Amino acid sequence: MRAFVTGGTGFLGRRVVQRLLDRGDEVVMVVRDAAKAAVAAERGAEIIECDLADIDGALGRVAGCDVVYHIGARVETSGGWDEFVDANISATEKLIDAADRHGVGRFVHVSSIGIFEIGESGIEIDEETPYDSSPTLRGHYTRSKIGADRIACAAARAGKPVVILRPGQIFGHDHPQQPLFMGRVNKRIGGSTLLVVSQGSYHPPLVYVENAADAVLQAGTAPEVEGRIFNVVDDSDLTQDTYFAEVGNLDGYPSRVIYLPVGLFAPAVKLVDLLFRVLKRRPWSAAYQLLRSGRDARYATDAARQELGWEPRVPLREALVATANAPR
Amino acid sequence: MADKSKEKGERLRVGVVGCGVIAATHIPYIRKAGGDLVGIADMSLVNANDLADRFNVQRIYRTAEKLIAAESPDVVHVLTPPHTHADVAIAALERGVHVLVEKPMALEVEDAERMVAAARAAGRILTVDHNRLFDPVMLQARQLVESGAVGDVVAIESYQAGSASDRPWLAHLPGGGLGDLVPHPLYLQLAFLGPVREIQAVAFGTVPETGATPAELRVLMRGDDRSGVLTISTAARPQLNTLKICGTNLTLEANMNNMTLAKRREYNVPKIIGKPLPNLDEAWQLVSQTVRSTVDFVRGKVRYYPGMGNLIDGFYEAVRTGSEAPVTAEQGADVVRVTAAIWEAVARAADAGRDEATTVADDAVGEKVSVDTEREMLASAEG
Repeated sequence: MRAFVTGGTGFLGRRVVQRLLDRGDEVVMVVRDAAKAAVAAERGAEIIECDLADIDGALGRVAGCDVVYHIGARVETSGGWDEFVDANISATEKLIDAADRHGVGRFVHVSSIGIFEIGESGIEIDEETPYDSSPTLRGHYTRSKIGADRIACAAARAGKPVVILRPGQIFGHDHPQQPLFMGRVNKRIGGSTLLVVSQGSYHPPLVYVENAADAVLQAGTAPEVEGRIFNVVDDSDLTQDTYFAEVGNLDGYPSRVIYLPVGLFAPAVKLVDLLFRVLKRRPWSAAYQLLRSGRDARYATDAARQELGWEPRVPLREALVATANAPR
Repeated sequence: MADKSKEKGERLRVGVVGCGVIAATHIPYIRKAGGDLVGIADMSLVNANDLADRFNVQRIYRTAEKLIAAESPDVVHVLTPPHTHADVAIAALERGVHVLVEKPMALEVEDAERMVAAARAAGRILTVDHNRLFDPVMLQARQLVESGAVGDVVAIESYQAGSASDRPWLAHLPGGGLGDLVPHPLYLQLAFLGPVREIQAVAFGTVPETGATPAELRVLMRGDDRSGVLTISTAARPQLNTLKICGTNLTLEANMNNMTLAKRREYNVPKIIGKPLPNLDEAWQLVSQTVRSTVDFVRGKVRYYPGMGNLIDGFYEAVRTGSEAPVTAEQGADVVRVTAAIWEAVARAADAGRDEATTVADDAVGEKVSVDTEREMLASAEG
């Protein structure tokens, strides 16, 4: 098998590349910085150094590949919208077209679980749940992932052999920002207490990076899944309470959690939002995002388990131990 | 699949093909008229996605065929560049989908006729976005004509001054960027003029900023018992868009930009009052209507292109109940035929002008001759 991989030096992508090389596949990688791909190159991967925004020159190299794994994306928090369009939306369209042109049998598009509409707390999200109704309030990255997902789904509906994976929040020891994904607004107070803006009954959609890599590889090879969409979360029923109880068992991590429901801030946030709308004539995107994060959603993964045959190979406790104890 | 027996008010499944600037105007009206926007299509998925972001559309497609196959819409709005209308609309009609096509319906008479035939063969509605006909001021003007208040219509004058846009597909249009300005005033003319028996037209000038030609167009049309004059200018300022309907009882002047309709009538009063009275009357009409429409606009009761909303309402009603479409495919084809005849007349006039140039040395004489001809034409139309 010959694979074309984007994002092959990233948090998830480098594991996919390792596994592909381990099992003897040929790998062609598009990378922004060839130095980061040195290990893969030593093992025989072909390296194309280019930015996703300038993917045109690399498209010809899709020819002769059996699978395209499109894992890469511009994830920076800075930059203008146009840069996200080029790197995340246009590049996806171009890559899918190139794969189609060259008769590639499978295109795995790695999307995100953050694309959904969560209109109210307590909803169950599956692959048919609509996109967020206000993408422009979600920040450039998420907005562009919604766009890329729309494009991948359009190709899938048009009969192209595209498989769309929507992993949850991926954690692992080498995650660039938050290895344990304890949430963006959580604060450690004192040595043993964590202040968490959420509620104990909420469902964090976590997936361990090795398990996510399994899903990507299976999406590349599982039979008869062309055109299908799969949400990928380790445990749909995991709650914040259970998660933090496990985290508390780890050496050096806080064992006590105080929850602050987002609802407490809602009136103040809505007031500032109203001021934004009046003064700047547009809504305050931080308000939209904060209020959204205050709603609970349970992510169903039945499709991935049944059709891809995917199961999280590494259980939560083991994944947390590996994440917390690994040298950083 | 589309079907004719939709209940009154039932929601329709709607697709939009072509995600350019006008699509953003259609979408709010589609939803207001009871349409569920089930998908949008554009050759560029990036364009389609951009529109989907702004209007919360779930599904995008690259072609109309794919949209229709996947979503089975009742209706599609064909908003692609004009030279592509025929193929897209016919493909949709053949799949049993009702079609609203943007103006101009087509560029070639043959294409327009193919579209009419396809709608008839499929038993589906094909309507054309002649939206200005349904602007409140035009609805009022048409009502005044139909009720007989205007008397017999004698002459219609359209005046449009504005900039030609420079979208790339305009190169396909006869008359280029200026050609894009022709359909609106022309279908308004034809609504009052009836069948056109004779056309004279001249086009000339160069747009200084872009080098595009022509910059100016003057058309004189004779109907059975009335005439129409159509002026399109890319140079004249201010930008203005008016339609004057001269009848035997009333003269109406609609200002399409400012949404006012002034009625002028004769007063049987002493001369000392008769001179200022019409002006004061008209001034009052303009002031009161301007205040009202400004208030409506600020309160959000009226949006841009209000006629488009009325037309889409009427179209969906026709789809649901089988009533007549607000604009028939045949009316759309008429506009395409007259447009083609106008550009033929322009070519004839240019040929004649070249012949004359060898015999008439003084340009001023030539101009005078053409003005005289115009007067004669008008006189014969009135007689």
